[in-house]
Amino acid sequence: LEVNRTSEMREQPALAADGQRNSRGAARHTRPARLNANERKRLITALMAGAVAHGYRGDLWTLRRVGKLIETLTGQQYAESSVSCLLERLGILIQRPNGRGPRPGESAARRGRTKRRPALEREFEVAVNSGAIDLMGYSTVTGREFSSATDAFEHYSAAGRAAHPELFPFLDHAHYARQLDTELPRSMTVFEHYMTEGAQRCLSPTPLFDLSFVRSQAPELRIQTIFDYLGTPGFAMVDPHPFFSRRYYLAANPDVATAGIDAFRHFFRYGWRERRSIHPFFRTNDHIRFEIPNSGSRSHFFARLLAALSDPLLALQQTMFDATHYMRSSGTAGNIETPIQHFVTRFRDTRGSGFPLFDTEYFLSQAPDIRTGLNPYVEYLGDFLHSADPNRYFDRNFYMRSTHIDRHFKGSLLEHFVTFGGENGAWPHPRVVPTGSRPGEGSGWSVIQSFVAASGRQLWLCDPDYESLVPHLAEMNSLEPAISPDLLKSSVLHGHSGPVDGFGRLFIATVTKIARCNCLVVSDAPVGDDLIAALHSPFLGLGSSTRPWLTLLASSKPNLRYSHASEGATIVAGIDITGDLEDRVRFVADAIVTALPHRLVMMTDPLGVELLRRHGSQLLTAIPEVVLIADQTHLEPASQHWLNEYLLTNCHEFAKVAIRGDPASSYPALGLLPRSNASQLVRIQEA
Amino acid sequence: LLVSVILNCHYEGLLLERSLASAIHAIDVSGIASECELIVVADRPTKTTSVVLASCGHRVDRVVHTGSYDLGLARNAGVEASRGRLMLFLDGDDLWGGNWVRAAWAEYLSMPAQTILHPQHCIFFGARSEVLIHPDWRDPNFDPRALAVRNCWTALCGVGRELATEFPFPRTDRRSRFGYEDWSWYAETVARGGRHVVVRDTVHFVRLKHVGSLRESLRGFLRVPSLAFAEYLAADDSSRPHDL
Repeated sequence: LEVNRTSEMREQPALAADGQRNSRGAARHTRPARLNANERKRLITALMAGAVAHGYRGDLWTLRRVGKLIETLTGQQYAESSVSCLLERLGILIQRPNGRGPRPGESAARRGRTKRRPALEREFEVAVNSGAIDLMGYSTVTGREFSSATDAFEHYSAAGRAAHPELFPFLDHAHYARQLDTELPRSMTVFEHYMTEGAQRCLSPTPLFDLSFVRSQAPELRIQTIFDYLGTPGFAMVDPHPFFSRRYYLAANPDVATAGIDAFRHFFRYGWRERRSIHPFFRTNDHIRFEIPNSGSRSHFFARLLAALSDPLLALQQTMFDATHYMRSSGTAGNIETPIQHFVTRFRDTRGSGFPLFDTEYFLSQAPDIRTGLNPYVEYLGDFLHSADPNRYFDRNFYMRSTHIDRHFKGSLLEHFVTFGGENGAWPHPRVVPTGSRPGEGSGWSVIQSFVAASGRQLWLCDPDYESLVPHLAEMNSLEPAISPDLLKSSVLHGHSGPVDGFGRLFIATVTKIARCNCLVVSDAPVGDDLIAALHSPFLGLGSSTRPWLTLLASSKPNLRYSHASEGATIVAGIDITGDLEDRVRFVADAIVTALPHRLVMMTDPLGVELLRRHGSQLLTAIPEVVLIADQTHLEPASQHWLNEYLLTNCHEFAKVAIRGDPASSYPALGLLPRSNASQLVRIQEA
Repeated sequence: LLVSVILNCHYEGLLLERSLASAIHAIDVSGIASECELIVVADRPTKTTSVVLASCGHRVDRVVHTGSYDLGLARNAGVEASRGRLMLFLDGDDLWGGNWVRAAWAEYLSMPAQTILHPQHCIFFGARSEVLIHPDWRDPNFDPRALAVRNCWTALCGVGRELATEFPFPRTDRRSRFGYEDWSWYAETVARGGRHVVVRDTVHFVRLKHVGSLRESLRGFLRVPSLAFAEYLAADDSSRPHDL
């Protein structure tokens, strides 16, 4: 067992100061471990006692045995893969058995020291300590059992240049060889070359590790090799490559964060096969777009990944990157072949902005503790905790309130705005509205910025022209003291300014479809075929030969249908009326009074009863012919009583009351109808 | 006469004095003051309102008393009593920017008869401070169907005599709870070919009260239905079956 106490002690003060922040203030994306500190301590003690002490034959801790031990000690069930992850988190070295399990404090190198070349002893120890060797994988590909890591390394070293790369997953032999001018000597392994010469020459051990980029973020760590990087306690704060964002990886793959696995290691072990998003500009769809295979060898995958990351086409189909804007703002208009790569890797030189709605200086003024050496825009896009605004005209709290997004929304709010909000009229700020075309001069609006939404449509962000109002306010101050130029400072933009928002568009679309229709049938749930057939029957007289349609509007399902007497029903629009029953009632009542159908059919379902309760007199006044379908829909007793009383006093306001089934027991008032007006009552069964 | 200023009052009390002052100021600086008349429609005014009205009587050309307790009908009464070519409406607790009469008249002269004039900005003050930017019919972002979901303009508009006479304001039906007479009137005029135009660089000031606000009094009300607007919406969707 090798518990890295240094790591724990370094993290301790930062965690004590703020449990949610790490030592540099960046957000952690891990959830609390399933085992608490006490349970982990008990587990380590039990492991140190050896497997024999726990009744096993042979002092070997296999993953299965450890899993059972955890269950016995804590009652928690762990899959073998999770046991492996847990042991990694505890700093316990996992390797093949050599007669007994590993124990805390024992160096792997000391355990495995045999006939290995002394010159590489320290380097190998660094590699082992960094957890960057895959003994099991190497054993699988070579078809041999190794009693220890040293054994395997001896085997690897003996193979020389032809050694199988699986022992060092973070050392891509093929990629490394492509950087060399000449072929390696037959007896020299890639590991040896990298550790003795390649690292000094800054050769890249794997396509996703850029030593100079790593050093630029943390010069104090004095990282020389990828094994230093993986073995340094602070490496989790340092991105290995401009196109691998640890923050984004954990934010976009919450299961990894939840499992507490290091992002970089996860991607090398599992993530590449699962086409995980590694960067705001390289997501799952980019894996597919560039046809990167995820079923062959890791080396092949990374070769294709590297090609994709340097492809000029990467800038295309990027919603959150505007190449034209970048080149204009960085003063390199038209001269960059690979703008997105240029932006990601050389942002500090150019000071250009990757997107019109991202103001780097404003962002940094709010997030001064952003990790050094990293692209602020990339950091912003990976901040799913919404801890800063992208520009002065984007108020994250206002936007969340106005779009009903809560702070747990998994994504960048700016991206939500560009993808959905802008086109649906959502306001990013109490004073700023998006418009679909540039407002003219004198319209009362000043254009702040324009951008291209995800749909490819250009939108303009507009701010009221307050300057022109100041003289008017000053003039009126003598007449009305409450009006002064200071009034503007405390005022907000009225909600009816600017284009209609998404809800308004939904309402307009619905009303346009039902306006002046022959017969509108409103219900809570979509009306079934049998009832539709009954509604078309001549007994009810809802349709005619010239207007044989019913328009069916259901409030709780995304459903607006036209039903023809002989051709059946067709869905014409998917509507999704959000909110509770009160909201849906208001929506439907407003829609009916605006659309003014010739006939209206209502049900005795919760929506129908609430419509009658709140707007009955209005609907019966505005619509010439209202038909009520009384059936045995389950209602609260109070609603049933209310409806019965309503029918007692208002039954003659309806053109017809159609009875379906036998609802007389629920609404005794219906029993009185035939005596007063027989033609008003229709039994749907008869129809 | 060129312009008739129609000011409605009911229970504004002392606030009426400021509204009258703003209307008189706007008339005085319009350059056509001699061709303007100021008509006050006192719809069942309170005592304080009547006292204020009496004290400013020398500047009011005519006071029309009505008992309908209805804003729409009061405006109609004002239109009936007026003689000007352009009607400009003002409510008893609101104020106009100084250039409104002059700018509205100039705009009216350059526009077709079916034009309804609105100020560019409306500043709400009092209980809340808000700025409303009125949309212009000529604005490419403007969609007249937005009237289905919101009232785009405040009631303090300007309209030619022909249009005001042809389309009187609807009454508020308190028994059936239909209200928002200006909203319905705008929907009706849009459907019947009216064009709503914003007069550049003009402002109105609308007072929002803490108590007795319009919003409170119309809680549960729906907009007065407009058959013409419903047909306007129906005709807008060409994908509908013709015999729907």
